[in-house]
Amino acid sequence: MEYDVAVVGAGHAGIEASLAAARLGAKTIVFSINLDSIGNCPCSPSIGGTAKGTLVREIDALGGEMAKTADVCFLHSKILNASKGPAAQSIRAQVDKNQYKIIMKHKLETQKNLHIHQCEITGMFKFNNFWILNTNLGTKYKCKAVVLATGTFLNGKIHIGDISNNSGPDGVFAAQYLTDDIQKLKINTKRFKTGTSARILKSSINFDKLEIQPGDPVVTPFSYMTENPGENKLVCHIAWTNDKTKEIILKNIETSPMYSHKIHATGPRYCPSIEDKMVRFSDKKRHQIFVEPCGIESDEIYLYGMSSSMPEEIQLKFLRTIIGFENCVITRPGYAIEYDIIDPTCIFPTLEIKNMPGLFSAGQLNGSSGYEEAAAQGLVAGINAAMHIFNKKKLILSRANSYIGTLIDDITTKGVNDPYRMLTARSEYRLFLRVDNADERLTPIGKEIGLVTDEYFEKFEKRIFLKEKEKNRIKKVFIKPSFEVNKILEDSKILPISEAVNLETFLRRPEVKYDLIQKIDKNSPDLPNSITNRVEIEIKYEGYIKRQMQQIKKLTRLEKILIPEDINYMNIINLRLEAREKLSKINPINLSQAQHVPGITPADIATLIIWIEKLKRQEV
Amino acid sequence: MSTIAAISTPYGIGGISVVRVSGENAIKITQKIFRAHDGTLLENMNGYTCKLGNIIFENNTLDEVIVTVFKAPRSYTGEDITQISCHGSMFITKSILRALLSSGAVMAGPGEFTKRAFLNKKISLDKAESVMGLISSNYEKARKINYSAYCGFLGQKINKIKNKFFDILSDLNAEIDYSDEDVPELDNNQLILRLENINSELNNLIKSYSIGCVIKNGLKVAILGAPNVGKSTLMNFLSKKEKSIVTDIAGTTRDAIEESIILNNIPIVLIDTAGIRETNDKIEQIGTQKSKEIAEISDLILFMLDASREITDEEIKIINSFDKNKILIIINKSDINSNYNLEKLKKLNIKNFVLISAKNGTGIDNLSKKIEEFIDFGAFQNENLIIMSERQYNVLLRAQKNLENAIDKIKSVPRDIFADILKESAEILCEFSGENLETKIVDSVFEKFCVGK
Ligand SMILES: Cc1cc2nc3c(=O)[nH]c(=O)nc-3n(C[C@H](O)[C@H](O)[C@H](O)COP(=O)(O)OP(=O)(O)OC[C@H]3O[C@@H](n4cnc5c(N)ncnc54)[C@H](O)[C@@H]3O)c2cc1C
Ligand SMILES: Nc1nc2c(ncn2[C@@H]2O[C@H](COP(=O)(O)OP(=O)(O)OP(=O)(O)O)[C@@H](O)[C@H]2O)c(=O)[nH]1
Ligand SMILES: [Mg+2]
Repeated sequence: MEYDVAVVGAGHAGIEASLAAARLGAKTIVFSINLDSIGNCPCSPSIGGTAKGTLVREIDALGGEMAKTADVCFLHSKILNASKGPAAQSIRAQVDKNQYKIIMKHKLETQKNLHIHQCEITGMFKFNNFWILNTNLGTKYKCKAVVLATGTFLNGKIHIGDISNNSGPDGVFAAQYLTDDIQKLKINTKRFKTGTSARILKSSINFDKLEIQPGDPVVTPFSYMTENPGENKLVCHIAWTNDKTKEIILKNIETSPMYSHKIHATGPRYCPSIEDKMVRFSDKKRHQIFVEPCGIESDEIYLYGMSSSMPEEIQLKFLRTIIGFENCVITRPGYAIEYDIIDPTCIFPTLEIKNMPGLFSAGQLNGSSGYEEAAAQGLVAGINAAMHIFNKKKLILSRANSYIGTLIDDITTKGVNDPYRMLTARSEYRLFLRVDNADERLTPIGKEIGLVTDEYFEKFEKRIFLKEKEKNRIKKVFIKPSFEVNKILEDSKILPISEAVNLETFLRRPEVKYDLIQKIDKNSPDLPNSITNRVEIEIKYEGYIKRQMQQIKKLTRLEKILIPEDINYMNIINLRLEAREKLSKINPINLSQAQHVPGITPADIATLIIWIEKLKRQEV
Repeated sequence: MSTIAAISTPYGIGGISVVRVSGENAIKITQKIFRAHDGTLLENMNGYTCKLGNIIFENNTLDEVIVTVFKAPRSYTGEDITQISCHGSMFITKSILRALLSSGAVMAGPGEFTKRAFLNKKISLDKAESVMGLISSNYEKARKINYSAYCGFLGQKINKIKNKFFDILSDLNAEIDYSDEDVPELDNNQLILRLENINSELNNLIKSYSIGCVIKNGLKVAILGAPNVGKSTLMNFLSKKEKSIVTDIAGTTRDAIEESIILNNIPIVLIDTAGIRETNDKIEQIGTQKSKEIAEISDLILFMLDASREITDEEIKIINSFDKNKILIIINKSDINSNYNLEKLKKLNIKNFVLISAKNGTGIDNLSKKIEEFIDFGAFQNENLIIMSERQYNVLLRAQKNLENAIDKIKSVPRDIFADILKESAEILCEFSGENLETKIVDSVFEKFCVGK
């Protein structure tokens, strides 16, 4: 059977990849070992979080699907870091896990140009300009481009205590054959591990003893298209570990496969298992647990922060030490899972694998961790698979315009030593890469690619128009130190003004929020929060944002200097030997990427600039 | 990178001279002109070993030499290096260099060996600067300070400060990025305390630059006073030269005369000036004016009085017109009158003075002790941590300014902005050792080097 694009895997990466390719006009098929696990959340039933929420917004701004689906089936939503500043803020939402899967599956089923198919891809090889995929049932697929998005399934192996078996998450078979063919193509692989916590039964929890964690009174949706997200459907809770929990875990530490050295793969530094936390942060009195419902029609409760791979009876024992969980019943134990990844330094920032035209790779397979990180890569890989088919220029996102660009640059340039999680600290430009302005940064790009609809784009343009108009307006409106004005200020516990100021200057005062302007200036237009919030940020932090824009300019200059594909670094005698070797290995596409290759110095870049200039002059 | 060569020992006649070659082809190029007596090929030698043999170029045996081989990365530059030790005639040394250049090496630019060491990450920028300092150290104190910088004490200190910055930054980032975990919120006062601590460490280094300057450039000391008090006599005595003309005619010295000396291990740039007085003589007027200007730019003014006479109202007026903190009163000609009446001086509130005789040298020890006290080395007990380079000084100043801005803003900006301001300080501090430095700055540092280093 013949397709333009085949996507292997229908997790968060595969979903975005297949939708993007199909929407761009490529005849696409997406495979999954089990169609009922499309869009599964094997870990926390939540989408977003610091930096991750911004990734979801960016996916939306480019024309992806994750945000819209999360907005339909969220249960509980919160703005994180509301007081810690514009770069720190992001959205996190609990979602109905089953709903999420059903909606995503239906979107794939009904997408024009897209077929979904249940099977395991067991083999893959190149034939002329085609990629041939073999299924476990002996069927062959001939495709012009392939996106690998196999998540944690390649040679997946689950560990609980000293019991281990070959399996993917949630009882789905592992994919035990594909790695061999990947390795035959001389693509480097590594072994990573991750883990998840037990689910327990809602009716076995004493909620009276837990703290309530309500969602935000007004829900902020992920998608720019969602106008009315509705209200939170339920509350979450918080529980704490205690000395007894610690005692049991430490006493039984040898039963954890990580500590008995049964697992050699590298686990995530950023979300360690509870046994890891007990050992590494031994002076900490207690650890927080978020008690998260998995859905409206499900009584399973997920315990965020309690990932463990200790034997089932030990898991039950330490969970029952926790106040509120004294009688808890486990529905599924926590576990650790080992899986194969592709060394992402074998991948271009287009997510095309080096020296493998038409073969793309995305998601956890590339060494990342997290649904949002996976979806973000899936979107880029899907877009570029389509670009490959239509012979168009492939999309490379920049560190300067997105977390997606930062993520891809980080993993493909520096490689990964443990599962990569998005953090705001990974970006040098986080004051610009904010959750509020993802559309300004990316929607024009999405429009040019063809994934952003006309309706979406019109709304975007209107939003920006209104924002700019308001920014201009408040420059011209002055408030005077009248009795009424200073009374309003006093009521809001804000220092009175002594002379007339324009609203822009006034808004720069740290303690002044935009809604105060609305109170003082009766002529303020009636604008949605999403716009006033942006006006406030852009004015209040203008100086700081400008500074980053200056740095971005420098980066963009380097991005524009492309490195010829056929460059032979070994011939550049003015370059240090170490630099020649490192650059040959990564083969960066432009000087910005070259600059981020570990071990490369500004002096090396200066040498490269001269070399490339010389080449250009010779060509003319 | 190309293979470079240069003469590494000073130009002139000496026992031996060293020609140094560095680069990928250093061994190959040297082999072209070298025959070991035992026939060993250089490429078969281990690093840190040497061989005796002849330099043969165009069928001409130039000299018998010893070639030392260093193999990358275990060498000064991090590249392959050969060092040819030849007999110290300038003619032989230059001939060997010429032979190397026509065999494929290129002439090294100023400081290029050290620059390569920096580029190959063998040494940090501050260390490179200390190499330069070491080469030009001409007395013990300077050598000691440069040597300790060369050993990395200063670099270690800066790293410690930098790590404190990074600790705070990572705490701030954890607070932001793990808000869905149970990372504790940071307390502002606690943060301020940590930042103040960094600031005071920066401040100590910054203050040490004044001493660093004295050590590097010498203390500018001007001898001022009325005509004929004996200024030129003191100048000649201290410099052990008859540079200034001494006569009993008032107004002998017309133009300032400078002389570098080392007094008690302190480098001093001594300036003899024209005597200051109200006069109608055009030339003397200009001289008086010039003396006052020199006083302005000097670190220390030695104001000289004549013990054989009373202090005049004019002298009092002049003393009062100078910054009291940098003036030391010298009462000269103690050999004529050792019982100088100090009453008038005490009235002027001047407690710091020395009685000397420039003619026979009494009191000079006392004078140099007073100068040493003035520099106040005592405040910088730790000679390892003295900033001598203007570049380093400016880096520290900028980092400090930024840090103070951060402390100032901590309560009025949100965390992410605060972290950003702080990050800038840390980035500035990175320039100290040359990490993340723009190539231009790096080049300007190396241009100051002499060739061969
Ligand atoms: C146990 C566990 C714990 C986790 N904990 C965390 C956490 O704490 N924090 C966090 O951020 N993230 C966590 N994650 C990661 C997160 O779940 C993944 O990053 C994300 O789901 C990856 O998405 P993906 O699309 O790359 O792959 P997946 O969602 O894993 O999807 C892979 C898809 O590929 C299909 N497939 C695979 N191989 C084949 C084949 N050969 N043929 C056909 N189909 C195939 C599968 O059926 C599946 O549909 C955890 C994951 C697991 C499994
Ligand atoms: N007895 C005695 N005579 C001194 C001493 N120092 C200088 N003289 C004499 O004082 C006279 C003036 O000395 P100078 O050194 O030329 O004085 P000056 O301050 O440089 O004078 P101008 O250059 O004219 O301003 C000379 O005759 C010196 O020999 C001293 O310590 N004792
Ligand atoms: Mg004189």
